Amino acid sequence: MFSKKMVSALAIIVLFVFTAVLLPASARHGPRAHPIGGIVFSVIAPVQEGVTRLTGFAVFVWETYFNLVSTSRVNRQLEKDLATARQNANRHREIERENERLRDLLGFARQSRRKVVTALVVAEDPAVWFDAIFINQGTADGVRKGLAVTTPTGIVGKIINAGPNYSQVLLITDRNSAMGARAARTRVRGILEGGHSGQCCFKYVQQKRDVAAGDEIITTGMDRVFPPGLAVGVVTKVIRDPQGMFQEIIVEPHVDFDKLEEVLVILGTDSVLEMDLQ
Amino acid sequence: MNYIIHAAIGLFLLILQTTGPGRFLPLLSGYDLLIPLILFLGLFRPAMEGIIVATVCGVVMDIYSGGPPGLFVSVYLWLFVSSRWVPRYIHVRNFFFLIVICAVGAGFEAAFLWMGAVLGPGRAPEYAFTLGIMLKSVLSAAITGPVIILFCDRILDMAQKWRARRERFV
Repeated sequence: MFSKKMVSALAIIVLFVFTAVLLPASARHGPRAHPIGGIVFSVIAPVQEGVTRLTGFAVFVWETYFNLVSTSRVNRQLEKDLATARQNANRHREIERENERLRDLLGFARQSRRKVVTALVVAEDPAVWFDAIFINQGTADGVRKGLAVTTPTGIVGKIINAGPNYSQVLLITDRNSAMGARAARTRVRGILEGGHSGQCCFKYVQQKRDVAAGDEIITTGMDRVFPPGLAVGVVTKVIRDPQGMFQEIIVEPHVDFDKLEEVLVILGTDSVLEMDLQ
Repeated sequence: MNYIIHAAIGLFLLILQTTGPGRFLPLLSGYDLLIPLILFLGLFRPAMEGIIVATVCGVVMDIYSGGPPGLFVSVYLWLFVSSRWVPRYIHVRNFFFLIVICAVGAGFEAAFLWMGAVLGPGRAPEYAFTLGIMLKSVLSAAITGPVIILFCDRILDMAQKWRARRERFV
């Protein structure tokens, strides 16, 4: 009925319409959970997990057995560091006790610890344009879309797609990521958005507000995803344009995403309470 | 049988670029390793086989990437269509041709994904960053892309020979 040329032309037209009309509409909404995402994760992610573990083991063998030459030198240095660390630990214990006493005096009720699950990073985003990772915990472990993912050093991102045993995490450095944040020193609030080259942008901070390089950025909890007071990163650059309304603030996240191996998923989205990961 | 081989190669390439080995080999982490597979399908395989594999690869990559849905399906189908057109105008079949087509393919995908990132709700990538990624993609693809195409060709050839031998015995 139709010639081969006609079918080809029709296919090209369909592809063109898809690219020109549907794709921009899809792009405007950003990343979304795919209906068959869970099934695909269940098939591919276990293999990725195996390869990641195997690679980790190979790296471990390399570092453990082939670097023995430098071990004794490192050992001596570590002994010195340990002595210093012990002194510091004693001092910190004292400060902690003092802190506890002061908290009690001020009448602050100790907040209950939030439930978290530990997950292994099994893979990263195949496209260099987007920042996402895959972890080996899914809906079977209580993980669901919208939960916060963190490490003891700082915030990692949030779950955007959860399969039965694996989940996809959008990193805070991705351009589509946005969260409520504040400068810990001056309590100035803004929105922390993903930037480029592993950095973030602290946006919508008025010119008159006091934010300087070296300021710690923490979560506000107002986005109902991340609990308040969690460390995010440190301000590395502040650009004040006299013509503009807002400052341009670059934030370096505390988490080194290239070396990320294990993360914590915070189960529960109620962000009113303060969280204590330690 | 051919579909299983393509799926296995695609899975192997996806795992290579998303897990440990890809991180330690910079030339393999600079661009999308499925591009050479799509180009191989476009240049050397029947149309229907190529369309099906390219679409499935695109869907899997869309699921696996943090980008908007449909982005990789479009890229792969356009790459496939373009690579089928190329032999009509360029009658060259050597290693240099593969280098050029891989580099162009990677550049095309980088430009397409940049467009996807710009159209998204997030912050648009900066020009220096974009240029850096494009250059890295094109260079990595020019160096390793032809090797992957030849690898795909060799695997398929081996599988076909094995199948022919088995059929002879049966």
